[in-house]
Amino acid sequence: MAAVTETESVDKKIRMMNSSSEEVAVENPPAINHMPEDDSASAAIPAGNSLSDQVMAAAISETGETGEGEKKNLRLMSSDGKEVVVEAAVAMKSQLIRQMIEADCAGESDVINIPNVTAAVLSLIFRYCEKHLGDGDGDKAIANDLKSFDEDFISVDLDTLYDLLMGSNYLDVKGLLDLACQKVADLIKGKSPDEIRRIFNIEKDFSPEEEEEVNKENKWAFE
Amino acid sequence: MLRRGGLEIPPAPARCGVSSPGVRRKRIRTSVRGVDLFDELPDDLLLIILSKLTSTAGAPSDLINSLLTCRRFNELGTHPDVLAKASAKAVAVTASGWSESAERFLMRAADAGSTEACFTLGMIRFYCLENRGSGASLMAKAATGYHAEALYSLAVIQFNGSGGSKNEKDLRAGVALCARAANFGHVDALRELGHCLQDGYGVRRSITDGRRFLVQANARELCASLQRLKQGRSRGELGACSLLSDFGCSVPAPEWNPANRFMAEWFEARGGCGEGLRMCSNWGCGRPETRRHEFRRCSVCGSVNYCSRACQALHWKLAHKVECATMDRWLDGGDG
Repeated sequence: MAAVTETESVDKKIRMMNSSSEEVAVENPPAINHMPEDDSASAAIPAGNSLSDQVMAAAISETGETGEGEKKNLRLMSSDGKEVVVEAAVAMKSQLIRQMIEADCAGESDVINIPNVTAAVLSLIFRYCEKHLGDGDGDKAIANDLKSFDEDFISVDLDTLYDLLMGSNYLDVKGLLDLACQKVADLIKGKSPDEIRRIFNIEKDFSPEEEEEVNKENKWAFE
Repeated sequence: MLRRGGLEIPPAPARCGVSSPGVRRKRIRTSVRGVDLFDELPDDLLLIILSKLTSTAGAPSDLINSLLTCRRFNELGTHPDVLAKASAKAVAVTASGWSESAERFLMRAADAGSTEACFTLGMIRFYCLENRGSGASLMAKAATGYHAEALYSLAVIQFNGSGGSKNEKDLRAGVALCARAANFGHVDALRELGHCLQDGYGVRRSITDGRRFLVQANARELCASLQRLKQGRSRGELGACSLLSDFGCSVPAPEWNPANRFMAEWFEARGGCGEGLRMCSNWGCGRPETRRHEFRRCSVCGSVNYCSRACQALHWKLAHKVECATMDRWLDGGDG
């Protein structure tokens, strides 16, 4: 029972953080009883990248025994010991999770271990994934909307940015990784070496001779 | 796999869930953890970050400043994967800053596969350093990488027989190169091609086809300047260049390519391009003659000359229309 209460408190926490998305936290995680056919069915779904995530989700929920139109959820165990429940379609944006599911590494009722990412960062990443579920549809109006969402999303403090970077790299969420990398690049751009060092806490490890050499070699860029 | 230095610190509160309109975070907070964030970042991620830096750089200093930060940045910042993505502005060396180390940098970027660096270094070597062979082959390398400006520049060289004698002009090659550049929507190439077709210069004469290309060139140019104006307005700036306002012109100048700007500055600093040689009167072009009487003159006044018809057309619109007067007129009208 302790596990259930912990899950509920995590749900509440996730709901607090993600004020806009309801689907990420589920009210009552259903007791998922899956027949063996489900595993083979989901394994039989071709892993080609041409299938959109929504089709995948539809296919999974069709074959699922949970039937009442409820979407299939995945349970993930974060590095800080908290369980994160997320819709399968959203989680599939992470290529790592997708491959795990397709290769049938995780049984349906099992919890997937994510030992490198905390629950808070996981829920952030999935918030991004959810917003970008329809990516690749090429609708321009949506693209502009997403652009402003992305800008807001990535305007976080440095530590969170770092966590997002590492998390999206581990989970292999390409869009978010690109976004985070571009943000870091934008932070570096236009600043002097001292400012860059100060912001990112980088130690200057040049010896005086090396520093002089490097400065001389690159003097041309400042004329 | 990745430890956080053994520190158990609760994650920073997520700010992205709360977006208050109109409040944009301007101040960048330093890391709360006090640890070098890049320390635990694997090399391949840092390479991605630096590649994005070079591809969106507005000036070489954007990348160079990061090189001066620490050894790791210095090493990874000059990695071929990073240099290959350099934007045109990232390799925009200025004439005043030109040195052996600048050339080394461009060479490294060119070797890494950056078409912008190949083109820029090619132009500099061909025209400024008068190393025709190396310059042309670098430009050709950029051209095979579908660099429209490089294709057009090679076309100009072919039309004029630059770097060689009058007999080395190859009009057909020039037209072919122009056509390839025009495929990518290059405005000057479209214009040049239009004129060649109308005159039957290096290609079979077809006035209607020529007209079509000229119209297309004008349309694209208008489109581009409208876009620039639109972007300019949104930032609260105007697109006009101060140089032109000296001449009282209201036509916004196109944004000059860094390589052309380099050449113009280079020859201006040296007071010209050599004995009896002239520069293209379209200031932003920067091309010098490589032998006497290489360029064509304005047939009305004869006081200006151009490397190509595209430069002639542009300069007419920007400045010459106002100044051009027949030789008779200014020989007779001595009263002012």
